[in-house]
Amino acid sequence: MQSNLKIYLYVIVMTGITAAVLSFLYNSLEPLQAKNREDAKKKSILASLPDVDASNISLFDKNIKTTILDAEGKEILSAAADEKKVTDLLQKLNKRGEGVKYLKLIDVDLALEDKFPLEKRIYPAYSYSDGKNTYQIVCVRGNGLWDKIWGYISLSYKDKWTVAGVNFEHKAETPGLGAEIKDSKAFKDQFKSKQIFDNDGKYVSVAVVKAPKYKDWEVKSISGATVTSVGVSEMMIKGISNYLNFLDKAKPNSLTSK
Amino acid sequence: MSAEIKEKESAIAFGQKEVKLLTDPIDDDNPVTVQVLGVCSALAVTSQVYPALIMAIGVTLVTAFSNLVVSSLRKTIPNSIRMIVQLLVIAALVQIVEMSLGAFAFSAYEMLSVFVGLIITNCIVMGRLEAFAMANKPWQSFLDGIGNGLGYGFILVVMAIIRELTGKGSLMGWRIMPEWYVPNNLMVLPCASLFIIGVMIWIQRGRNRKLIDIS
Repeated sequence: MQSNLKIYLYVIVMTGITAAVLSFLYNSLEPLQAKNREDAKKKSILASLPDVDASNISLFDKNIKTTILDAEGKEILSAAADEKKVTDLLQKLNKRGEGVKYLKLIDVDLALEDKFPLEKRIYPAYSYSDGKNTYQIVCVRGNGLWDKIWGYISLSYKDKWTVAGVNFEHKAETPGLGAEIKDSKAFKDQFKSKQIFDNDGKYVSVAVVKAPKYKDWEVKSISGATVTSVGVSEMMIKGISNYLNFLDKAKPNSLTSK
Repeated sequence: MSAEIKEKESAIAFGQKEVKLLTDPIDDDNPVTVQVLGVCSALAVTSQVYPALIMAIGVTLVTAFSNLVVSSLRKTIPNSIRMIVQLLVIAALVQIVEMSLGAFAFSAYEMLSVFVGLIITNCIVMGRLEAFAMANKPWQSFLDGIGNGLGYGFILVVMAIIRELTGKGSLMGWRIMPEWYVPNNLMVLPCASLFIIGVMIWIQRGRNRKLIDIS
């Protein structure tokens, strides 16, 4: 009996000490981790832009404005919104539950939005302008072979919307095969200058196929990574479709006509 | 009094025995190629040198400090729950490594993803606690942990150099191979590590006959 008591006491003391050390370290290191996650996301968004140094994170704060869309593609927060509107919206969004807690606009993420039913989801869009060039960046998220894949698509408008650049990320795709959606510059470069509407104005997105027939909106898949390639294709079609209203309003002509 | 000083000296001494504790696991008593421990992560994280290096450092720190803590507590740990206590120490240290990576080496943290958490299940750590730390003094146990971590890290880094060079044509992300070299995708798949590790064991045993039939 005495030895049992000693064992219980030993376990309680050991667990208590361990828990105290870990919680102290968690509280001290979490702000640094949160900053790293935020910087990694900003870098990833900047990497979708052509001719922009993604490692220069200050460009994000300087040149990018965030718009938030609801499930129907309507703007619920415009790029010109002030601090108060942002705080009000974030508070409203946090009330949806599911443990989702946004503290800043950059925290709004499709990964967390996945927890809500389609009609409650919101979609962040980013507008980049450096004085010379203007791009709209949309977020897409889908399924790869092993786990989730996601990415950022920057679009520019001249007489039609064309892809200016893409940046894909993945959680657990196979190195050298599926992971090439992130690692291969050649794969990502294929998307540049592709149209997302066909010549009749019908939404086609950019399809990833084995043998591209329509050079304006099809790119070549990665051999040996068929499931991931199909995943990218589906992610592009579904993902960009959430932003069609936004893109329609973001056309330079429609902005000047207002 | 003199016996006390002698005891203290021997506790942190760095003689021939201690050197052997550090160097043996790198070759003759290598945890991966001789003790056949920690093979899973050796297959999983060696497609590039950078994550392999970070993983090696992580395992070395966890092995060394868990050896140190468990060895310091060895006389107080009740025998019936010794493995639970060992696991608690390992899990806490792994959490510390994971949190530190997330704060100070975020790109490595992202690359290693689940494998950092899986250091807990790395047989080298538990193996050294049971085989060495429970029966030896803290300083010697600490050195044994460092030695085994280095032995594991050595194999990991050599494999990663071979795989990244042939599978991607680069080292630490820098292109090394000439332009005409077409990277061999097979080398970045986990199966490539199996035959690389096989060849390494073959070379090691060809060179050192006494290792044959040891494991």
